[in-house]
Amino acid sequence: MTDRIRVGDVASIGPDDPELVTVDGTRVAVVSYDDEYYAIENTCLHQCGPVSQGRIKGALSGEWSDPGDRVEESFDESHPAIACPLHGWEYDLRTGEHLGDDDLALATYPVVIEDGVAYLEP
Amino acid sequence: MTTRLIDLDVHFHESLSTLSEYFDEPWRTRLQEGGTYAEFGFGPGGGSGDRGVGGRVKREQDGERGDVVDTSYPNAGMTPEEIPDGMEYLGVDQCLVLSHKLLGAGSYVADDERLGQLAKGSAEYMLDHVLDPSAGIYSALPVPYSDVDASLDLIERLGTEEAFRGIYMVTGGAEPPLGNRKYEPIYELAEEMGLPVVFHTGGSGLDSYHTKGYSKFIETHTLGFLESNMSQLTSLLIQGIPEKFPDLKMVFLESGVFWVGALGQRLDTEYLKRQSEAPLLEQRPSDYIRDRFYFGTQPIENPRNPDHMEAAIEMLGGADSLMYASDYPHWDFDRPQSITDLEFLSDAEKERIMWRNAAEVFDL
Repeated sequence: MTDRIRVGDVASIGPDDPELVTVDGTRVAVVSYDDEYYAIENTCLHQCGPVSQGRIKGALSGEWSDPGDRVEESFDESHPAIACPLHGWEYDLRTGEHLGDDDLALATYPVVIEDGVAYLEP
Repeated sequence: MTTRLIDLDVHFHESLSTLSEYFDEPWRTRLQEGGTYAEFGFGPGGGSGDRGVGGRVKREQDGERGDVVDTSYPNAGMTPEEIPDGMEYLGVDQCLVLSHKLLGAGSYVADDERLGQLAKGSAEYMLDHVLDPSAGIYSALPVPYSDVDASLDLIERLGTEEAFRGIYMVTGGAEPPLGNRKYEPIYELAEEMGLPVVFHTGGSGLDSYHTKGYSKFIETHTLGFLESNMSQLTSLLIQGIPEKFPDLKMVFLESGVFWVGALGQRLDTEYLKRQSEAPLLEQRPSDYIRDRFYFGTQPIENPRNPDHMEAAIEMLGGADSLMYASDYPHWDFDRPQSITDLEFLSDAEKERIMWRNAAEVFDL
């Protein structure tokens, strides 16, 4: 059992300002997006790119109604995703699962905020 | 051999002079009174290049006979009797006879009427003269997809005929590719009517088709047939046709078996990087290939190492995803032994490939 890990002041954590910590030898990125905090393994399963340096945005979803209609595409902001900057492998920030294949998943961890400080609970 | 044999790809080479009586006016009169010029100029022809390999492939030449069945293809329109003759030669119990004339469908680009006339004429002629369910002779209805309204009319009118067990779309030259939303009403209707879609490749020629200027026919024939099927399968997958039409059955013909696994891996690699461009997909493209598509066997490859063939078949979904197809009487047709002699296949797998899969999908 690993003890709670102090990440840092929440004020210093943002979509473009990840905090990196090490959990049992695994590099983990703590990021915030849309006022939520997420912790996700930082090493892409593809070619070991630094996931935390990637773009965070709602996953793109498509809605199709009837034959002949266009697929309406939109960003689903309730479904935040981070894309590895090397090749675009994109992961669900909540689950760590690759958006195209949920058999591929980065580790994720709960983030707890107390008195303005973020902690990981591995 | 197996207990039964269904051949998914037999061709009937129609002559325009026999089809023209089924055309609407003014097309009928143009052809019937226009003489050689009118017939010669109706369509794009068969593509340049010598399919007979300079006289080496004798089977399809007039007047040549040996231990094979002669056909009048390609020198003249075939006669309906040549279909049961071919079935007897191959030992086939049931078959789908596909229009030879329609193989150039993607090349009819100057207007959207001729292809409709050709498809309608071929379908009606075949019903009257060639198809005979009591003798195991069926077909898939040719779709003039450049005119979607005409396609829907034809499917609604003739798709319920017992002899038509599916619809037939030629992949060679189809632009925009067949995953485009303009074609979706065709897939919707086919799904509603329980008609599987047979996607048949085409597209080779020295002086025309997608890549011009190959100097040998082997170059254009190797790649033309392959590229056509790859283009359309890619389009169907990325545009989400399997998700949009979950009950639609789809079969690809005439590019062998090795290409499927390679394309699936290529698509998966792209998909893992760019899945946002295929937002309707719920799984990897290769999973859809294995789960939702069937493939004809012909022209089956000849690897030195049979393990490679076994792997190629496994990658496209195994014996459950394959259907025997001869392509008779075309020059590169396959005999049934090309499959039944594969030693790594179990008897049950051979039964699936040689008839069971086709019987289930086409309700034969």
